[in-house]
Amino acid sequence: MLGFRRLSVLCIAALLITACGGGGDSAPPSNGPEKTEIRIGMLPLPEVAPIQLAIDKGYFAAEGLTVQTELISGGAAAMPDLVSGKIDILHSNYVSALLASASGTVKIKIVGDAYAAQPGNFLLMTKKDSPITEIADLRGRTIGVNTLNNISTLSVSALLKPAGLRPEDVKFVERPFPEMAGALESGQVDVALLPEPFHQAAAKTLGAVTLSDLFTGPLADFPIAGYLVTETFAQQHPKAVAAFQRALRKAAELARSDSAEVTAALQKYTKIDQATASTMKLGGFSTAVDPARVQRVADLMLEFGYLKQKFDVASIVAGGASG
Amino acid sequence: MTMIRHVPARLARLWVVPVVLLVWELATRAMEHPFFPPPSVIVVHMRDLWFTGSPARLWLNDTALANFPQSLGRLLAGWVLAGVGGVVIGVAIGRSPLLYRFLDPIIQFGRALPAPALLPMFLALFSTGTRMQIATITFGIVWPVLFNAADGARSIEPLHLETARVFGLTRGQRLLRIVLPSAAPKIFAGLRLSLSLALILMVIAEFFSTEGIGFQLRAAQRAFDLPGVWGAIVLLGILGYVLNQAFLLLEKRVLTWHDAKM
Repeated sequence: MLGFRRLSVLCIAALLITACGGGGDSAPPSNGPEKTEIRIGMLPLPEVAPIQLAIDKGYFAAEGLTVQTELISGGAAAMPDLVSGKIDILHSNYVSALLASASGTVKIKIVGDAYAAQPGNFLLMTKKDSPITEIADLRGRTIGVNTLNNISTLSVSALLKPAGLRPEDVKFVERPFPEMAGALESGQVDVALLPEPFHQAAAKTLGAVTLSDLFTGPLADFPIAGYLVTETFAQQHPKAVAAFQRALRKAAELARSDSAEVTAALQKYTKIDQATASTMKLGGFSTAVDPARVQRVADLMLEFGYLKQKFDVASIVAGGASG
Repeated sequence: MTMIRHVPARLARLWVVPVVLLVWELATRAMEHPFFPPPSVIVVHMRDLWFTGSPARLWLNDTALANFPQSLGRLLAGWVLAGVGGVVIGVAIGRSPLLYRFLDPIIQFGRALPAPALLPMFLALFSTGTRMQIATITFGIVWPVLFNAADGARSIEPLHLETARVFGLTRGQRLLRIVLPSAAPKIFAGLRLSLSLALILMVIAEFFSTEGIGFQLRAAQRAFDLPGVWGAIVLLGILGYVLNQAFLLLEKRVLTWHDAKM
């Protein structure tokens, strides 16, 4: 009874909001997005280049959306902003997204896929002349990751397994990516997890050595991150979500076919210089969410205890996201 | 006798605790906000996380024993270092106007630096681990002790010192019998303030570590384990309360002893 009443209040509220939104002098066409100003929270990583491309090429504008981006430090850390409505769409790694959803903390919908790992995108690196030369040497060592309990720690755990090591056999410690190379050089961490372009920089300036590619073997082509909205947002703004998805897909197709466009877009929201950007191996831009592929993340999380029970990813993929 | 008579009065004052807990419980149940679990959920989760051990070990389980003593040890080590350093430097500048004039600008500058902002430097100097954490805590909390000690040492009755000189007390004797006892109440006020600061800095330093209560808090945040996050917060609150009570006991002991001797 209470649930019903609350629902009806929500419906009325939603109606009022839509009515007010449409009350301007130039009413948008009836099939336009319910919300035209969209705020996207994203990490300053190469994988969100399609967002920048969609802004620059006017793909969002063509769909009637005005998109503003806000740089965040991690999907998990920015989740409260998604809940409070400070941002509408959040770029987050899938592990944090599934943890938030499975724990009941935030009811989310995956509206788009950002990136799947390609060889050379994420590396585990050691200092020059480090005694650690293979994965088996990692026992008891400290590994620097950007966020605990996220895709970094999960994928490192998976990488340790064939070498007979468990996650408890190593120590994880949080360091922001920009500080990671320094932490490696000064010995705060024995091994650093570095994405592009940080690993190129670490190799060039400090002579850091690659220990292993992170997403290799069973983790090849692993889905890294996607775009999330809250369930409420998806219910109240289906057209805005669909408009975002169309623009994103168009931009991702451009990013996949024309790396020069990506290089140019990166200059706008990262500090990656042209020379480094052009050496990056960015091929993993994704145009659609593949529920089966994201299910690999959930299954791996179950295997390593991140999730207590099996989680069906298809249940949180928004309509239209899988293309 | 007085202690015993005060017990019922003290217990009576505790009525606030269940009332606050009840309001908290009702409010969080009404809100149904995932970021605000009810205290009943938090307590059960705290037991599952840390208190499943045997009574012989105070119910602490392996996770608790792998984190709590380390945190507490670092907190106390940082506090003792800051206490000793703060008293030594504080009394020195309190008694020597010349030293005060030289050191004051540096001290004022150092006091204004927020220890969390210096964390990356401490990390680079001491690497991840106990030394970095103790350095962060010590640097962050030395100031209240130092300033209070200086203040206490400066405002000693000149008559006391002159009398001591007339009676032929050496420099060391005057320091131990006159200067330190007179400055003690102020020093203790500084020590109490720095104890509560130490808890805060301990948590911040442990965010960037591999174990400790702060690490547990950060890991729970990252796992969206909100009852776990609240569990760590409650634990820190209890720890802060216990430390303060223990400190007050210690202070009472030391200061009454010194009052009686005067």
